[in-house]
Amino acid sequence: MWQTVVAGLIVLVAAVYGLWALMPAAFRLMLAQRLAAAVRRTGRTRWLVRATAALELAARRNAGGCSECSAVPAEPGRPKRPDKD
Amino acid sequence: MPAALEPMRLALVGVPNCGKTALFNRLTGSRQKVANYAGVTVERKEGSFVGPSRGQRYRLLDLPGAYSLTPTTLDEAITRDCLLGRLAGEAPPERVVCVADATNLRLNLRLVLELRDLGTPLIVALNMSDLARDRGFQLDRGRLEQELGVPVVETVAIRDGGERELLEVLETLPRPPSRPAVEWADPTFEQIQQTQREVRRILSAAGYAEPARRRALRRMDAIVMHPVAGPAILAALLFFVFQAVFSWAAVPMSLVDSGITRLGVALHDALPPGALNSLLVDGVIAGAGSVLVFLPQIMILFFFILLLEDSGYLPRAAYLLDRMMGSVGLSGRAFIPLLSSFACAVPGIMATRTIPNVRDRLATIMIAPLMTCSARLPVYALIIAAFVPSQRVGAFNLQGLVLFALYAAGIVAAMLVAWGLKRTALRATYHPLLLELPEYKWPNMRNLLLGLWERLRIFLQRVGTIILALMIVLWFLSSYPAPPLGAEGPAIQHSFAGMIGRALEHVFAPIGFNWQISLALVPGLAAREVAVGALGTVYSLSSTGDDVAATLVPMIAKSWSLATALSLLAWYVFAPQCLSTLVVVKRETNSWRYPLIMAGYLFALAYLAAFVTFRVASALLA
Repeated sequence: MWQTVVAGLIVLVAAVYGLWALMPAAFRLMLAQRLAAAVRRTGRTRWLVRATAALELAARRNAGGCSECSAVPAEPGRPKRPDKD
Repeated sequence: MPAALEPMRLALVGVPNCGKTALFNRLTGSRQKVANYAGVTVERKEGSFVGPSRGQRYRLLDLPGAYSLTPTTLDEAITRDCLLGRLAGEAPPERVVCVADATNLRLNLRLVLELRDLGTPLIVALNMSDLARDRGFQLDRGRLEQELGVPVVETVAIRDGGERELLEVLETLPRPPSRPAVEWADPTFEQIQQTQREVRRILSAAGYAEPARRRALRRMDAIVMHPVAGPAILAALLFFVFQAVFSWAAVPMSLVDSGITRLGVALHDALPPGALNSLLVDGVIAGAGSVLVFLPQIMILFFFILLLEDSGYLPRAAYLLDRMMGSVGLSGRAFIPLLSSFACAVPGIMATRTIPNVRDRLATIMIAPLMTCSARLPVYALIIAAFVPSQRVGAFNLQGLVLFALYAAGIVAAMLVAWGLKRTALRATYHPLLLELPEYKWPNMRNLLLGLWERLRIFLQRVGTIILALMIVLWFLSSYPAPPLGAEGPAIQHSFAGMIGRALEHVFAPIGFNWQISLALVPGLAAREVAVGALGTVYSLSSTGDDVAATLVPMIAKSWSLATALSLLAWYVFAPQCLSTLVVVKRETNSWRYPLIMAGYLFALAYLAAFVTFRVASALLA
C-alpha cells in the first residue's frame, strides 16, 4: 500500500512539472506572477513568498523541450578587442 | 551661418570589423547621437568634434559596415545611399574617411577604389597599423598614397593619440566644394574582377607583403577551399566523425548500459514487488536510463564539432557549401543557422535573424528542422544498434556508414525542400556569402573541455528533468488501469497507454509502426529522444519474468521487422514532432501560419518517406 502512495505522489509531482515545463512560456509566466502576487497579498509564511518568487524567476527563463539552447537568457557579450566594430 | 563656420559633414566608411566605430569614439569622445535611419531599423550614429588647430567643427557620421557599394544587406544599402546623397533629409558627406584594416588590406581596398571612383573627397585611414607592424606586414605607405591618389594616414583607434595623424591631414586639406548627388550603377562581374586585379596591382606596387605565417595559411586555404579538393576534404572529415561516433563510443556505451542494467536489477531485488518497484525499474531506469546510454555518442559528436569550430575550419566549410546552397536558391548566410540546427533547430531558427531578406529567412526557417539535431541521435543509434550489424565494409564501420547516410539524407531533403520553396512561394534573388575567414589555430583544450562540459550538463539536466518527468507519467499511463480479471497478455495492453497506442496504430499501421512505436511518438512531441525512453518503458512493462532486466536494443531487434526499423528511420529524417521548434517558429515569424505549414509539410514528408520505405523494404525482404 505504502508503495502505491509514494508512487502516486511521484507521479503527481512529475505530471505537474511536465505540464509546467511544456506549457507556453507566456502562460507559465502569467501563472507564476499571479501565484506570487496572491501569496504576497495573503502575507503567508516567508518561505512560501520566497518559493513563489523563485518560481516567478524560473518562469522568466526559457524552459521547455529544447536541450541545446540555454535555459537562462545569455548575458550581453563583451567585445574581444576594443577596436572592433 | 557662413558656410565656412558650418560644421563639415564627414562620414566614416569601412568593411565590418575594421575598427570604424572605435575611431568614431576616439574622434568624438563617444559624444554620439544614436537613432535609426528614417523608415528602417538600421542604427545611425552621429557625433561632432572640433579640429585641434584651426577650430573647424565637424559632424561625423558612422555609416554601417560595407564590403562594397553593391549592397547585399539593408545596412550596406544605407551606406551606399548615404554616400550617393540618396537618403531623404541627409545631405551627402563633404568628405569620406575610409577606414581600412591594415592587417587585411586585400579585403579593404575594393571599397577604397569604389569610393575613389565616386569622386568623393577621400582620406584612407590605415587602422590597426601598430598591429600590422608587430605582425610583420610590410607596406610602402607613400607609394600606396601615390597609387590611390588620395591621402593615406595611419590610425590606432584604440590608443590615445591614435587619431592624431588623421586630424592633422583633415585640418590641412581645403574644404571641398558642395557637390550634387552622384550617379552610380552596380558594377558587372567583369568590372568587379577588374577592380580586384587593380587591388592586387596596387598592393604589389606598394610593396605590400604579408608575414610568412599568413602566406603559409593562404597556401593551406588554397587546398582546403579548392573547388574539388575542398568538398572532398569536408566529406572525408564528416565521414570520419560519424565513424568515430560509433566506433569510439562502443566501450563507454556498454559500460553505461551495464551500469544501468545492474542498477535496475539491484532495485528490482531490493524492493518488494509493488507500484514503487515497478515505477523505479520500468519507468525511471528503463525509460530515462535508455536515453542516458547515448551520452558517449553525443559527447563524441560534439567533441568533433567543437574541435572544427575552434580550429577555424567551420567558416571555410560555410564557404565551401555556399555554392551548393546558392544552387538551391538559399542565401549564403543560411549556413550558420543550418549548422546550428545540427545541435538543435531552436537556436538555428533564432540565428536566421542575421538573414536580411525575409523570404530567404523564411526558407531557412522552414528547412532548419530537417538538419539532424542531436535529439535524433539516440533514436538513430538505437535502431542502428538493433538492426545494422557492427561489421566492416572495407575500412569503414557499417553502422557509421548508415549514420552518415541518415545525416546526408536530412541535408539532401532540406536542399530539395529549399529548392521547391525558392521556386514557388519564396522566390528571392541570391545573395552571395561574404565572410572574413579567421586564422587557423590549434584548438584550445580548455575551451574544448568547457564546451563538452556544457553539453554534458545540458544533456544530464534534460534527462533528469523533462525526460524523467515524462517517463514517470508514461509509466502511470502504461500501468493503470489494472487489467480485468482473467485478461491475457501483458497488463500494459489494457492500460491507458495501451488504449492510446492502439488508437494511433490505425494511423501508423500503413507505415509499419506497431502500437508501441505509435505510442512512443506522443511523448516524443516534447523532445525527440523521449521516444527512446518511452520505448524503454513500454517494452519493459510489456515483458515478463526474466526479460525485465533485458535492455531495449535486443527487445526491439526481436519485436520489429527490418522494414519497420527502416521505416522509423525514414520517419525520423523528417520527424515533425518537436513542439519547441514549432513554438519558436511561431515566435520568430509572429504568426501561426508558418509553424502550421511546417508541421503539415514535415508530417506529410515523414509519412510518405516512411510509407515508401516500409513498402519497398517489405517487398524486397519478403
